[in-house]
Amino acid sequence: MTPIVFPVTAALLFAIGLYGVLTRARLIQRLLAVNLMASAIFLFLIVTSTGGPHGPDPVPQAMVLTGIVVALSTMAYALVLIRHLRVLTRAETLESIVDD
Amino acid sequence: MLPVFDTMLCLGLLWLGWGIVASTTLFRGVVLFMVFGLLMAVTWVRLSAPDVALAEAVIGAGIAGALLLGACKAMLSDPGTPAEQGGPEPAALPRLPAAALSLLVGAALAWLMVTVRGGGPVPEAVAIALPTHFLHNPVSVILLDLRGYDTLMETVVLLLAFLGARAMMRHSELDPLFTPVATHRHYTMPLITLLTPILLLLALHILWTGGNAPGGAFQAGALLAALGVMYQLTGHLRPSRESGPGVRALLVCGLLVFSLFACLGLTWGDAPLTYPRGAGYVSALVVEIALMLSIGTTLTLLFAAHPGLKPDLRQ
Repeated sequence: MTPIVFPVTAALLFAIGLYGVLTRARLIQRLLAVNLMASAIFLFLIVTSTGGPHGPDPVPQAMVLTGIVVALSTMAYALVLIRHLRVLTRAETLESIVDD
Repeated sequence: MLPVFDTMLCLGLLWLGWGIVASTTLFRGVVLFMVFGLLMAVTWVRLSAPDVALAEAVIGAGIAGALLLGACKAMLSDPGTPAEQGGPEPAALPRLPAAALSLLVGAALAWLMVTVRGGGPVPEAVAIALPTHFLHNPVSVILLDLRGYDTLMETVVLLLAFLGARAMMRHSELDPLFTPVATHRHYTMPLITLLTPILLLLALHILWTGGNAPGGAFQAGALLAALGVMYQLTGHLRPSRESGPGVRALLVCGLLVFSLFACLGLTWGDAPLTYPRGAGYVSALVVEIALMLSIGTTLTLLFAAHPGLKPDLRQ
């Protein structure tokens, strides 16, 4: 059985990430918080893969590998969008665009 | 000993996570995010997932860190940088209700996650396929054979992300982010000549052993991208607005070879993405090499923030 600290950490990391998404206004900071939530989910998936009678289950591990690459792709595209948003509108947050 | 280590590891993750969310400057958040990735890699090793640990170390901490540092640089060098940079940031939501909501969600998740934390047997289909499979690394068996469709779609996602970014780059024509001005070849050549063979060897080794030990195309591709990033930072590769036929071929070759292979499965099997009897290992290797080249090129170009790259041979 996996030590209990890992699933608890996954839940708390998700909560921290959620708090960041809700309170941070700057878009890149919000993106970092979203990635934190993704890491928390990956941690939970890997926790479910361990502790079986015949060694770790490779299916969640392969899913997390795929997830890491997809998360990176999303982040790369989001960074480009944020950069161009700032160049075009001089805005760092979505709220400031709505206000204008 | 190990429970103490696990607890310290988890406390470190939580502390870094809080540091990322609460960071006042972007640079601080980005650096903490990279350290978080490294600590995450250690956590994957502790949870007996070495494949994921390798991917996290090179992709999550390495390439993502490079992209984020590029974003920090863009903050400083792009036109239209807001004057209030570093000034107080308005909170999107009031902090107290947000904290209460997050804690509530966290508590519910903790209860759920502790209740269902693993311990189940390996799925039957996997347990049957593993002992007789031509690949010996269980994760590679899943990625390349049993769930090959996921991997195919994953390469589509990566290519789409780049194509989307490329469309934006062409539209706005921003300046290159990294233009080394004062670096002389005498200073950068030793680094290049030392690290190029080491990184190439590492990438090929990780690709080659990926079938039987932790590793694979994605980790190897990210290592190639690290090489590309180094060549850009030292000025040996320069971003260009045009992408030549070679770059375009490298970008799509992974998806092309993989899709072709998926269709060919219908000629020697009864379903797409099946492996030919007797030649399974060779075809898996061909697909992996093509994937590695495409992933390396895509990640390098994403860092360059330009459609193409050209070698700079000036002395």
